[in-house]
Amino acid sequence: MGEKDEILVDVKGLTKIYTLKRNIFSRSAEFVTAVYDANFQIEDGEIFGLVGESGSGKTTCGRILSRLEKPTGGQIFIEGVDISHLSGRELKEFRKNVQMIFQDPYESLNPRMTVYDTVVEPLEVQGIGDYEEREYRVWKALKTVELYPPGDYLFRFPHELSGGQRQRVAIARALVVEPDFVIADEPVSMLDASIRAGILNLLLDLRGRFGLTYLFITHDVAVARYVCDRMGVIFKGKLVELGKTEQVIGEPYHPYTKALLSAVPIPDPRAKRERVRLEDQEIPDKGFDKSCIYLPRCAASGRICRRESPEMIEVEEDHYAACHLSTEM
Amino acid sequence: MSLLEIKNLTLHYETTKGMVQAVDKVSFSLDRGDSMGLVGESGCGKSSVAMAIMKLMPSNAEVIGGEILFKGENLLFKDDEEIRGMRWKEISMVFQAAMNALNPVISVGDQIIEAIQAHNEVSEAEAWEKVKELYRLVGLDPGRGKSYPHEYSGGMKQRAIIAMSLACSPDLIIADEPTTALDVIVQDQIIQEIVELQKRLDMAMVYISHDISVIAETCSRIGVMYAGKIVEYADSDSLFYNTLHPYTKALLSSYPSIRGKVKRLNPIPGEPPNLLNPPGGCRFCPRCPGKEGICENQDPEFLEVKTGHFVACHLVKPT
Repeated sequence: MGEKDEILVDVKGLTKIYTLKRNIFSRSAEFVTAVYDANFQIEDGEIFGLVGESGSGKTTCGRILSRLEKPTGGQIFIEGVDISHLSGRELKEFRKNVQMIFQDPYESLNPRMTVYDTVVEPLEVQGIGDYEEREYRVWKALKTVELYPPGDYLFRFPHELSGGQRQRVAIARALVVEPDFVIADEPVSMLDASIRAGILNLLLDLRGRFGLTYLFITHDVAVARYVCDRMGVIFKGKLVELGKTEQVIGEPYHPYTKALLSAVPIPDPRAKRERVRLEDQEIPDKGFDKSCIYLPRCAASGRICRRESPEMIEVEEDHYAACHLSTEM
Repeated sequence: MSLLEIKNLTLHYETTKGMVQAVDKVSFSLDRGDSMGLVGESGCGKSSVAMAIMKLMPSNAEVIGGEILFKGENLLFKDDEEIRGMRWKEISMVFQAAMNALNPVISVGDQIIEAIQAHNEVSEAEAWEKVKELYRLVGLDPGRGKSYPHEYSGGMKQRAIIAMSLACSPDLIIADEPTTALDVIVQDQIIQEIVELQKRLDMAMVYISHDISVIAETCSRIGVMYAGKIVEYADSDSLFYNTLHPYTKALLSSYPSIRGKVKRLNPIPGEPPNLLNPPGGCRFCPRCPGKEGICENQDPEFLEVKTGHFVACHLVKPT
């Protein structure tokens, strides 16, 4: 994709630091750096994947981009507007364009609300349409997510639905306000494989039909490969590699990406894979320490890795890695 | 004689809504030193089979029929005392979130010693030696035995659990989703460890997982379960490259991979049946793309259609 493609989301230096344990008798506090200086862009109509392990900060990124939380630093432009300090009416307006789909459809739906009430709620909050218009929109949204015929589902409660159907209701709720940008945080990780495939196909089809843009957050590289056009790999709050999905998976540069990919099991008993051997050790939260974040685990580290944290380097066209040694390989 | 032979195991759960037919006529056998995977989606009965082997079923479970022969003896006839003597010593188990089952106020090493001393008359010092040996075996630092569970990472705890399951050198180990709660890199290390140990110690293993890619890499034989039944059972290679049952085929084509071309995934339409009232004929029939008249009325038999390749499907004819 060239430069002329429109950038929908532009994240610049996104940082989130949580403060733990503030002692009332002193000014000292403990900090956890959940995300540090993340930079990425998402083009209009693109599916951008954020891949990482638990605790890597991928969900925090999603929560900030949907403004469920405020960033500690950096700027986030969505459709040209810096959303990091929106409030009141502007924030409400923003939510019309940006919606979120969560991991666990068993928890994200209110058990006391029917499907209709769940899906119509965003319209009511946003004050969109009159009663008839809303009813029509809900009907249409349910049809879109293939809950067909919608009449059969409107007055059911979440406990009367299967996991796959619940996630479809959650998607309908996100789509009913006709957003431009959808943040999907592990939308399929609670689902069985045969159901998961259906939800992934649905998300892909919706992009085709409505030109939606997604931020797709997942721990599963195989799933990311299936849905994403481009992806970023995040490790301990730091984006370490960024590029087209096929580039990142086909030819990873960062040692962490390599290790991650080498650990993914392959559904084929004849497949052989080379494993990257790693130390199973806890990496301490190092805050603003200067060394490379991956240093404690890295097998190939050099002197420079201890001295300074690497910047994102363009290793090939549109493919970036934050590793001092990536250019030598 | 097979080490473990399960014949027509049928297990129901009694609930307020009625009988849940969770396991229906499940049969398979496992030789000494062999590994088999049991794969299926949630609610298919794979964990119920594991619990039945260990006789750890909840109180509302009832074994309706069948046999579980371990070294030729039917475990179902053994009383609690006898089973307790066998657990850990002959059959041990690694559970899904076993790492959370560690007692937080007792050091991990002491918990392993407890298991050792329950089955063997050994002194404290000898038991500690054994702990150190086990730690080395599973790739943990032997010096960490005195540490408490909160000082371990998730992967380390799961390694410690594996060490504990090996403490009395069992002949059979049942691993029920042992890596499901772990991150992919740690999962990979644990799987590698389990496979190596299983081969090195010549144990038999039943490995249960919902993830067919994990099973593909760990086991020499695979049983695919659907709605309480084993629908296909074969060696891994045949199961993947000569797939016979329509459910197995559908399951395989619903998995994304990081290798090969990106192909559109095929979800299976519909949902697994409610086991309170499963369909009368083949349980996969309502979702099957190639169903015929007979499928709706008659439960297909579990037949050996090729040497070592068993299938329960009317559409597959023995050759």
